Amino acid sequence: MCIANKATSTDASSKPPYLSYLLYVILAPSFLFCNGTPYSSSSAASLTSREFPNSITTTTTLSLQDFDSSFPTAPTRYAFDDSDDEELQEDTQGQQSIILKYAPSSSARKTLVVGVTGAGSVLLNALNDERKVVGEVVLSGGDAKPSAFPILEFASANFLLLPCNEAVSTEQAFSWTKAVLEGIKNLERLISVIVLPLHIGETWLHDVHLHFNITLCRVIVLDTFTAAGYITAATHEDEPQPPCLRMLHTSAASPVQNMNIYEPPNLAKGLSAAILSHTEIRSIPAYLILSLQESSYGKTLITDETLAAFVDGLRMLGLGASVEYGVAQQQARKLGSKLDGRVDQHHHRLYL
Amino acid sequence: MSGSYDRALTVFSPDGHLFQVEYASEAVRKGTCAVGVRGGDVVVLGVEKKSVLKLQDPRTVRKICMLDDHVCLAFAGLTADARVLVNKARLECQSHRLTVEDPVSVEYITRYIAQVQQKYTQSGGVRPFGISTLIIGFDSDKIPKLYMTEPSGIYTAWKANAIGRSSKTVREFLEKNYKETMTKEESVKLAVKSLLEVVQTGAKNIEIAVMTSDSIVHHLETEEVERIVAEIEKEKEAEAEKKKKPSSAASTSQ
Repeated sequence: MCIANKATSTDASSKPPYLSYLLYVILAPSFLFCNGTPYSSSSAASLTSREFPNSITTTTTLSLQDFDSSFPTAPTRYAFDDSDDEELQEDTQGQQSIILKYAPSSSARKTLVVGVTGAGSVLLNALNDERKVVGEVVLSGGDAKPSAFPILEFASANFLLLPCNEAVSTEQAFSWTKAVLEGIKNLERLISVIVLPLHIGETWLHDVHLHFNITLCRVIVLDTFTAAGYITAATHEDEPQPPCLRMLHTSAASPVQNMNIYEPPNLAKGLSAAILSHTEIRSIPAYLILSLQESSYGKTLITDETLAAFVDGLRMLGLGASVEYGVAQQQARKLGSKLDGRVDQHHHRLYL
Repeated sequence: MSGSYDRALTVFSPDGHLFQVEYASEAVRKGTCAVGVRGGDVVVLGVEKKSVLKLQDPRTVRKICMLDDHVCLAFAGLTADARVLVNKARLECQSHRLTVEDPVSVEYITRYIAQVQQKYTQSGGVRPFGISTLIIGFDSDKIPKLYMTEPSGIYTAWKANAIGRSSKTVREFLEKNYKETMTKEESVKLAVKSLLEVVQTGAKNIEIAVMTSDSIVHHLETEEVERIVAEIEKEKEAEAEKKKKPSSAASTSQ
């Protein structure tokens, strides 16, 4: 896996004569004042065109780990061969880039709350309290159109919210997690230095990098599980009913009372699993909150009970917030017929 | 207003509505679109196929059914209601053959289906069938026939029509583009074009059945439908090019 930080720079191959030039230092508006705009769930769609005057941009170029598909029946060992042309292979397999734009209000310790696509993202978009857009994660590359995920800051707390309004596929989950969590921690501040000479027509641009560390003290992931996929010793009569909460946490995180563990052999999957694995390896305290999701005729539903369970779970972890259920239903519909869980007229099996 | 008059099927509202029948038409609009086109010597049924679930047998999810060797039906609405009505119609077709020693005419079986549907709008303890049907076929006169029935029990003959979701859009398209005495290829193309107005996913969700004057029904393969869709796309591009050219010619002449 090749990860490269790309910084824009214009290299002045020859230094201008020291006394002949005026030096201008242009700073973007001060990063001490957060320029985040008030966030409303209706503005989620317009985030891709939003400019961030305080933007600290980290572009991470990823390569997809993929196995050589020209020999589908080749033994597994070939997939792990140390090949000299490994880099060449990565180049031809398609590049994906994640752009993280973040204008932090301070370098305080932050808790990142990630809402996995579905009930998790719907909840974060429907929280009642004031939120400010402070950043954006843009996932682009390949044939798919770019996906944008807003980063929101809670006004009254050191919480960053990241609702995944579009699905992150299982194949991208690990690279997405690494890029986002590493990117938030190691943001660089770019100061552009424009050197204006006394002689017209000559300009040099210097870039100076300042490091600006955000400390992620905790990561919370909101995801769901269904009764059909939940392995439990309970009998049919004792099957869990929503609101029902389960939790997993990394070894660096302290256990939470009144929240049951997601019992083995049940597995966390996809983006939740990628985030938990990443945080476990790096000893970052992380919690995965799983809320029971109902389904009907094979379609999962995002009900008020599912969201209420999330609210309880977040309260136990120190984030007190309420949900606007009307807004939540709108958000669920926006997710689309595949993900919103609504049994709509296009998929209801009663009709042909 | 409708609250007290829509629970019972057999009760008219003061302004003459049978709300249950009207609600049954709403159920029809929940089904995917079906279109019928009558050509010079051919009649075509086209339907929007719903995507089959991963573990589902696609043969059990069909919108086009044969009632007899020479009569074909497509429906939109409640699947279970369609199954019951189709079974009744098939039984009637065979009963007619045994009794009269002749196959049913298309109009006869359409009238029979419409009668059944009407009966279920006038009895207590039942509800109307939540389906509309398009019935095609050839009688001994070798003239193509296309009929439509509705939950109310009305049946009407058509040159071209659509039922189900977005049927209004499709019907308007048919009104603009229908021509008398179309050939088989033109009729099939019109049916596919009209479905493409509302089917977002393209050829893979379109099913076409073509009945010719020998009363043989031919279901087009997916590849054939894809070929027709590709032709339609080419024609659209050519038309778009034609529209651009006059404007560029005008600008150069200035």
